[in-house]
Formats: sequence, C-alpha cells, structure tokens
Amino acid sequence: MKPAPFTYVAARTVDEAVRLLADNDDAKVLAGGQSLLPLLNLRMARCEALVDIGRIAVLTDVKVTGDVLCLGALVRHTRLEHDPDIRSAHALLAHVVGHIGHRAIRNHGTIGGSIAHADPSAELPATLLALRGSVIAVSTSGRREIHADDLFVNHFQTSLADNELLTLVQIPLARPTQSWGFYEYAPRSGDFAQAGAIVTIDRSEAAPQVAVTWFATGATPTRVVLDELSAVANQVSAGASGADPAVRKTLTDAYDRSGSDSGKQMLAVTVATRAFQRAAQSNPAVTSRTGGLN
Amino acid sequence: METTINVQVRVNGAARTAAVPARTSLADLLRDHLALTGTHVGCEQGVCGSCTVFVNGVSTRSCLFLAAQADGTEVVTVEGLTPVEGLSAVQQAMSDDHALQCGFCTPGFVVTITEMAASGRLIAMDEHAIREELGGNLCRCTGYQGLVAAALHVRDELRGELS
Amino acid sequence: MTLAAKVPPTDPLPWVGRHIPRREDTRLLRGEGTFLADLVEPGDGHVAFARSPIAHGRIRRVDVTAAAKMPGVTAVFTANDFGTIGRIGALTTPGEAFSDAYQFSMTDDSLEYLASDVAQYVGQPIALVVAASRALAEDAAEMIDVDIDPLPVDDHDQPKTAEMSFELGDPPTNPDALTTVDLELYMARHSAVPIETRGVRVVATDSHIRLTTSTQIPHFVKRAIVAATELEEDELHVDVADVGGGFGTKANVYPEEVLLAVVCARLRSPVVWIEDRTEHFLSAAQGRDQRQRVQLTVDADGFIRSLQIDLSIDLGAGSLWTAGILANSCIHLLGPYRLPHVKVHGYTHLSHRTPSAQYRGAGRPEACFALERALDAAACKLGMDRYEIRRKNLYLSSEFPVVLGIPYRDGVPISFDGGDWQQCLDDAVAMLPPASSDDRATEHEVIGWGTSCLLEATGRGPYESARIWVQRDGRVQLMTGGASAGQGHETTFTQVVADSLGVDPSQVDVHRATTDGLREGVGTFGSRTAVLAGNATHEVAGELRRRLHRAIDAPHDAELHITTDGVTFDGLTHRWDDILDTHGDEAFDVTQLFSPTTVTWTMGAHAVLVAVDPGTGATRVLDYAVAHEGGCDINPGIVLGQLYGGVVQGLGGALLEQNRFDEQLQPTAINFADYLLPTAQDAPNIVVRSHHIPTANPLGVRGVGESGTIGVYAAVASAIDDALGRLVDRPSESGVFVTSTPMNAEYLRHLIANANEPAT
Repeated sequence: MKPAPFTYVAARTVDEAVRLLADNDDAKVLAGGQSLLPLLNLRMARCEALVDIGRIAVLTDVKVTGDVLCLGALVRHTRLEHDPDIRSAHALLAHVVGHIGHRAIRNHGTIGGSIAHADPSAELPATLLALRGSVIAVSTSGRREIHADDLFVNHFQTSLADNELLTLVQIPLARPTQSWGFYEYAPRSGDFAQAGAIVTIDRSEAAPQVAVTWFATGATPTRVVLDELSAVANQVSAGASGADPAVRKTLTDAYDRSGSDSGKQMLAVTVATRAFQRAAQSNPAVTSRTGGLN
Repeated sequence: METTINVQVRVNGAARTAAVPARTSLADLLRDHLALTGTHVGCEQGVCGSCTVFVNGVSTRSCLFLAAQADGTEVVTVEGLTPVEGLSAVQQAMSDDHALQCGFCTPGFVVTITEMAASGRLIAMDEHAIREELGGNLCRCTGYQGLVAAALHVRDELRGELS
Repeated sequence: MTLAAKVPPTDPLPWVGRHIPRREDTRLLRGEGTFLADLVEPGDGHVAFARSPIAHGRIRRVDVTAAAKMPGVTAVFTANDFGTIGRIGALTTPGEAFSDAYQFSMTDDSLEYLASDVAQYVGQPIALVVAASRALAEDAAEMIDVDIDPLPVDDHDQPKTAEMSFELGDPPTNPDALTTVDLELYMARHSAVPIETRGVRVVATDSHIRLTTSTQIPHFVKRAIVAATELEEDELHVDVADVGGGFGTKANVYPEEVLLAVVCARLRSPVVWIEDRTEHFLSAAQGRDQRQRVQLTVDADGFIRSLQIDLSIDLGAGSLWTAGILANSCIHLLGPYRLPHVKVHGYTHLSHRTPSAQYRGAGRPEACFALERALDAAACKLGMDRYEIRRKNLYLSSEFPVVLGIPYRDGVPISFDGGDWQQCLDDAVAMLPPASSDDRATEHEVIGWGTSCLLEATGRGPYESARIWVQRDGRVQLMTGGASAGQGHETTFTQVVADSLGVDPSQVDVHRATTDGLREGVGTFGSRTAVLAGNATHEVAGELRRRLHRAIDAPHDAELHITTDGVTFDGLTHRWDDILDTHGDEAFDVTQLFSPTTVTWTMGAHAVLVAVDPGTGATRVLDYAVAHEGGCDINPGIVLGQLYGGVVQGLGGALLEQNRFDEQLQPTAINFADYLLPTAQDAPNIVVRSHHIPTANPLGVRGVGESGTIGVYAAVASAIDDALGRLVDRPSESGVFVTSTPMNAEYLRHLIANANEPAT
C-alpha cells in the first residue's frame, strides 16, 4: 500500500519545526520514520503534513550534564548501541537496543521517535521509565520537562501536546550502587516483545530500592517499587537462585498490583524473575560489570 | 492534495534528480523514476528486507525512507554493488553456496552481507552472530542455509586477506 | 553466462547429476532479474481494488461516483460493467477409476471473479479502479462506497464440497488384546507467503491480449480466463516473468488475473496490478486447516493392526483444487508403513475464510502429522522407543514393489517402489541421535528429540510439455510447460538437454513458459516438474538428436559433434544454415508431451533436536537431519536447496505461522508483524543424506519439492513432547502431547499449564 497524500517539510531548526507544528492542525513529526512510515504506508495513520526533523543537527547531540546523560531526540539506535560514551553513561541503553528490530531499522530509528511513539511493547519507553528519566518538550509557547512517570498515557499515546516536539531525552547516569537486569520474550529475535521486564536494584545505604518495570503487558510500561525485595535481592546476589519461590511470589504480587493484563501474568512473572536474577547477580560492587548478561 | 518534491540524490555515484509526489518512498523513487529495479519491494512495512539499500553508507529500508528524506544523500543499490561484468565477492559467494533460489529477496541480502563485510563486523562474527545479522531479511526459498554459508565464506576470505 | 565458468566444457562426464552453478544466479544477484513489477512502464494504468470489508454479506449498492472523480482516475469497474460475471472453475477433477474406488463426490465450489451479489470472504474483489499510479488508484479505491448487509458467518453446518472414503484390509479380530490410541488433531491454516507478492500486467495489440502474471501455471490461467470470460482462445496469450517464489499459492487462478484481462480488453491499453502485502494476506490462497480424528491400534510388539481416520478440511470460500487437497490428504495416510487395516473418511467444506490452494505438500504434511502423531502416542502408551515403533512398521526392501489394492489419483493402482526405507530412518537417527542435553541450551531450557517418516507421491500426470528448437546461430532453445518460481529450471533442463542432445550447456537457452510458445502445458507444483518436464525435455532432446542423425544421413548410433557451428560427423561439419535450409526450420522444432505411467514415490525420514523454554513456552530448533530416498538428482545442489528450504518452511508452519481470523472471520494476521515467517535465527543447520534409487521413468528422477516440508510438523511435535515430558513425572499420563499447530509459545504454555494441573 501507498500512504495517503501529505505535504512534506524538512525543518532546519527546532524553532522552525515547532512553528510548523503550531501552524498545522494535522501534522506529524518524522524522525527516523521506522515506526511512523509503516503505519502511513498501511494507511493505519494519516496526516496532512509531515514535519521532518531529520536534518536538525543539534538534535543529534550527546552530552553529560552533571549526573544526567542528555541524548538529542535524533540519536539513532545504532549509536546507542556502539557509542562508548553512552555505554559508560548507562549500559542498559546499548543492551536494550540490541533487542530492537534489525540493523537497517536501528540505523535510522531514533530514541526520541521511539519514546514519542509510545508503543507499549517497545524497549526504550520502558527503559526511560525504569531509569527515572525525563524528556524535554518544546513548542512555540516554551519548553517543559516531562518525567517518564507522567509521559506514557495509553497505547501509542503520550502527554506531549500535538504542537510539542520532543527534543531531548535525559537519563540519570548509572551509579556504582545500582545494577539492572533485562529480559524479554519475543516470538522471534527483533520482534516486539510479548512481555518484558527491567529490574533495577539500588544498594545505596541511603535509599535502597528494588523496582521492576514491565512492558508489553499493558497499555503503557508500568513500574512497581519492591522495597520488600531488598532482602531477597541481597540473598540472591550472595548465591541463592533467582528462581526462588519467594522471589516469584513477590513478583507475582507486584504484577497483580501493576494493573497490567492478567492473561499475561505467568509470562510477565517469568521474564521479571529472570531480569531480577540478572540484576541481582550483576552486583556492581562485586564485579566490574555495569549491567546484566544477556 | 498531492505536493511534489524535487529530489537531488547521488545514486551509485551519479547525480540524479527527480520530481516526485511527497509520499513517494525511496524504493519507489529508485524503481519507478530512476529505473533501478534491482531493489525489490516485498512488504512496504520494513520487515522483509528486500528493499534494503545503502543511504549515506548505512543499510536502509528504502520502503521506510521517503524520497524526500533522501534529498542530498548518497544512495547505493544492488546495481551499485555489482561490477561491470561478473559478480562481486559477496555475490560470487552467494552463487557458490546456493544462497538464492527465486532471487527476489536476493538484492536485499547482497546489501546486508556487503554491509556486514564492509563495516568490519563480519570478520569477528561466528555463525550465531551471522544468523542474527541476517535475521532482518526474509527468504522463503533457501532455508537460509546457503546464505549463512555464503556469509561464512566471505568472512573466511576476509580473515585470509588479513593474515 | 556463468555456467561454463567453473566446469571446463571438455569435461566428459554427463551433465545430469552434477552440482553446477545455477544459470539464473548471475542476473538475479546483479539485480537484473525481471520480476512482474519490473515490467511496469510509464503510461500503464495502475489497478487497485475495492474489496469486501466483511466475510459474508449481500452487496446492496456499489457507488463509484466519488471514486471516478478522483485525480488520475481513468476508469472504474464494478460487476454492473461486466454483465454476467463468470466463475473460475475447478482446476482438477478426478477420473472415473479414482472416483469409483474412493466413492468420491464433489460439488461445484467455483468462485465469481468479481463479487456481484454476495461477498464470500474478506478481501474478495468488488470493484476496481484504474489510475495513473498505484497511490492514486488506492486513493480512489478508498472512495468507492460499498453498501453491504452482513450475512451469517457461522462456522457450523457449512456445506461439504467433496467427500471420499476407502477401506483396505480387515479390522483386527482381537481388539481387546490390542492397544488403541485415539487422538483429535488440528493443523492450523497457514500459507506460502512468497516474498514476491502476486502481480499481473496486461497489454493489448490489435489482435490479442498478452497477460503476464506471477504464476506457476500460465496454461491453467489462460484456460480459466477463456472459460470465464468472452475472450477467445486465440485472443489471449499468457506468460510469466521471473517468479519470486510460489509454493502452491501461485499455482492457482485468481480473480485479479481474470479482471485485468477483461479490463485490458475493454480499455485496449496496458494495465498493471502489483499485489501489496496486506492484499496478499487477505486474498492469496491459503492452505492446511485440517482436523483429524485418528484411531491407531497396535499389538503389544508395536506392530500396526489398524488405522482409522476421519478428517475434514476447511477450504475457506472455495478452492480450485478441492479434489487434489482432499485426495492427497486421504491417500497419504497410507504412509510408508505396513497397514493391515486402514479405513479413511474425509471431506472438505466451505467457510467464509480466504480461499485455499495446494500449499507445499497440500494434504501430505497433514497426513504425515496424523500418522506420526498416532505412532508417537502408541509408542508412549506401550513404553516403546519412538524410533523402534517406526522401524518395525516400515516396509522392507524385500517387499517392494508394494502393490496396494487401490488406485492413486490418476486411477493407476498404487505401487510403492523404493530402496531401503529402514536404512533411511536409521540414517536420520544416526545423523542426529536422541539427546537429553546440549551445550547450546540455556539454563532455562530443556532438550527434546523427535523423528518422523514420510512418503510422498510425486510427478503426477497427466502430462507436461516441452519444445526444443534450433536457431540459425546454432543455439538450442528449450521451453517447457513447467513455469519456474525459483526452482532453477534454466539450469536443470540445460543439464538434461546437454546430455540428451549431446551439446555443451553453454549452447542451450531455456525460455520461460508462454502459452503461445507452447500450446499445451500444466505447470510447476506437486513435486512434478523434474519428473514431468525433465523427462519431456529428455524426450524432445532425444527426438531432435534422431532428426539430426537422419538429416545428415548418419547411422542412428553414430556420435555427432553438435556445436553452434553445425553438426559434425565423420570429419564433416554440416553447417546449421545448410541443415535448416535443406529440411526447413520446423523440422528441428520438436514439441512433445511426456505422460508418466503413474506417480513415483519419494521416501524420507527426519530427525530434530529442539530446546524448549518452559517459562516462556518458546521452542528453538537446534539441529535438523533429513535422510532422503530420491531418484537421480539432476543437480544435487538444487535438490539440497529444495530440502533445506522445505524444512524451514515446515518449521514456520510448525512453530510460528497462522492465518488467524476473529469471530466475525476478519483476518487478524494481515502483515508481517502478525504473520511470522522464520528468519535465519529461527532456522537450524540442516544435514541431509540422500539415497539415489532410480525409478521407472527415463531420467530415473523422483520429485523433491515438498519432501522437506512434509515431515517437519510431526518431527517437531515429537521433539516438543519429548522436551515437555522431562518436566513431568509420568509423561504418558500427564497429557503433555502436542495435538495442534502452530506449536508456538502460547500453545506450549497452555500445554504446560494443563500438564501441571493435578490429576482429577
């Protein structure tokens, strides 16, 4: 199928892009296009105008400001995968990107596009939520920061207004007290997950915390804090099996609290258990790794 | 209302221009306007990989890339990877290893394996990694056995050149 | 071309039997293939269809007013524009001997080429637009207003379209002393999904219409269009471009082919339609969708005493291959095993799903699944090894030919010939022995091993055609009715001509089938072309050789040296111009039909090792082995390619693929995100051992196109049982037993959950 007709403008600056969005009631932002163009091709999405932000160089910037990694919206998946600075800022990004599509898709897909698209089964929105990140949204009326907790509203729906452009993704740097584990089940490698989980463990004495973020289990990724698991986490990192029934029970209860699809409970608990095991076993205080094994 | 876009693009080393509707994909630009029919269209949703080409040096689904986005870029298609006569090393390995039957998905695999080799990644890959890289292109005829063998042979040739 | 590059032309060996590079490869690898969509020219009218949005409905009104006014539109057609809408009729009807032996009956389930009154499935064409581009045609097709009243889509009591039954041997007299397993099985609907979609381009001249279509069967397409429309036999030519995979879905005649012919005849200007992937999932023919009730009775030693099967096949809204699909399903239940008593009843029925055609195997994988699942169940019940129960029941080489008292589809009594089927099974198991652990398994996975045997009737008649002729430049030209969809016919038939005529392969050109180049033809499907078109090629090449002997007065057994210069005998070269001037070009233009006595049988045994993750239900295929009892391989590389590709297609159907429908029979897997094809990561390394047992045709070849696929479903099911059995104490009682496809993660999770339920 061919897309329904639209006009196309390549914006050169963020200002121009947000002006175009303000001037067009029915405009869509084209970033990498790897999610939007299939939908347009299938005529499952339509718009009067496409505003291509792909030529706005400033949106490809990567920098660390204080203890936050700032990724321009146009940073491609391939760069997340291979850029050593991004890897050392937080290795989870490179890890999850390995699960997105295939090479040619990752060459063009962007972090901003993936997050703004808000596919509930996508890895990057869940990663933003799990890592307590935020995004910067710009419009003709100004600039605001939206925390991940407030960003994902429903299937393919965010709290970004139609005239807002997501310009920046901010992710707190990995800390030595933190570890993470990622696990997803997809029918084939590269497919969207049918259930996935990111478990983060923070062993800092000030604010220890274990949390699980599920994705592909409901309308949005959901994060549940499991303070009571800290003790279990320590046990596991000391050598106990991640398949410990107590862990499974706690994760099952957490899943039920998350309000996700009950039909997916078994699978969701399995992936979370495995993510938990990985997070628990990759204690950064013990090993030099900053993340879990695949 | 249909708007027309003027596109200037270097394709296989030659400067080309075309005026196309804004909704035209790079795949359709190549096939319908530039008469480069080696790039095939199998799904128009970025899954089958038959339309894979290089844009500015990286593999790209030309069905998920607008002609308008390609303005000012450097595009290389299967025709551009093909010597004047005979076959490139990747193509020759594919023929030797029976990596094609109907030939429809073939140009996409030529691009994908060429990128694996040219990017320097292939030389370090084992069979598992090769299967993962090839996993973005669908073939319905060969069962992938010949394709994997061809990629392994290209890898071994690269290793031989190095040592 | 590339052909001569690797093999010196002076090599004295016969060309048949050699793994020479494919002649097709160079152009395809260079991106110089000519597929249907590559034929589009500026000025072509692009066609898009308005298709039925519901599975069953009465069409009240089709309003094209708005569509006709859309930019770039040159014409819009609805059923009203064509008068009476013809029907596309059955492509196969069995003969009397078959019908009598099987009490076969069949009703007409032909389909209109355009829904005029009642739409029968989602995606059925209702109207079409011709416009300056595909995009504009789609814009306009969206504006066609179809007012359609829903009719019931109830799946129950759908009309039977064909029915057959047979019984051989006598039921056991001591049933109480025997063990019986009783299974209900289902093989889900899935389909060929070639990477090239369908497509049709038609051009008109003053005298005729030339239709080029992405098909395996151009001659059938021509006959069906002539039968369904007012086009005359002499008015229409059908030919093919490079075809990007078919696997049976393109061995069919489609409404779009008929419609484009009719539209071109009206407009007298070129029209083209390139199917998009969504249209493919809605309207290209699908397969399988078979339910079976299987009762297998064995004695205490595992010998089969009786097999009774009832099966039903959902053909969707219709099939042009009803008789073939049903007969294949029923007859292949005979399998490679000694069956003292077998009783089979089967029928097909309609539904408001997508129509069906003969998808790779077309009843054979289903039959293999039924028989092999039953053997596994019986082995389990007896506590017997799964390999042992198969080995015991396979026919022995001393029993060949095995003549059964019942005919094949062609009416000729079934007679199995073969080499050593037990050896074939032994080979598969030796190449891939049972294992309970594997280094490649993760901590979450359990290992399972499975095996299956298959027997396939290949090379069914009634005939195939071949035509050979010599050009003035001495190049030998060949065309057969077997249209290639990637099988490498240019290479294999060149090898046959090289041997049978006695020329260097570089002197031979193989043409694609056209209905004007060759008036008669059948096509490529059902593992038939190497057998039929291969032998037809052998015979016309031999006849051409005999005519050359006569033309130059050489003794019939004299060795001729045939080159592009001419024919040399006894030191004297007769130049082609002289030969052709003297005798006329037509004297060296030979067309013949090859009609086999009956089918030829191909046996195989498969073994597979899988890793199953009980936590997710996911199955990974680690290794696969195929032992294959074929005939002479014309080109062993191409035979291997058929087996590799067939296995992975089978794995797709076994593990991933399903054409799903919701309660209103809306298809729900209509793109590649929902219909999952296996990728390189899902495919295992496959090892093959071939035995070459020549059979009774001049080349001694057996068909191979479907063998790779047929045994896969059963072998994988067996392996998954084995893996899941390791999770429970007493697998034989736990109910961990695969009964349906696809054996995807969801299904395995369901099996595991049920197995873990405490027994009641």
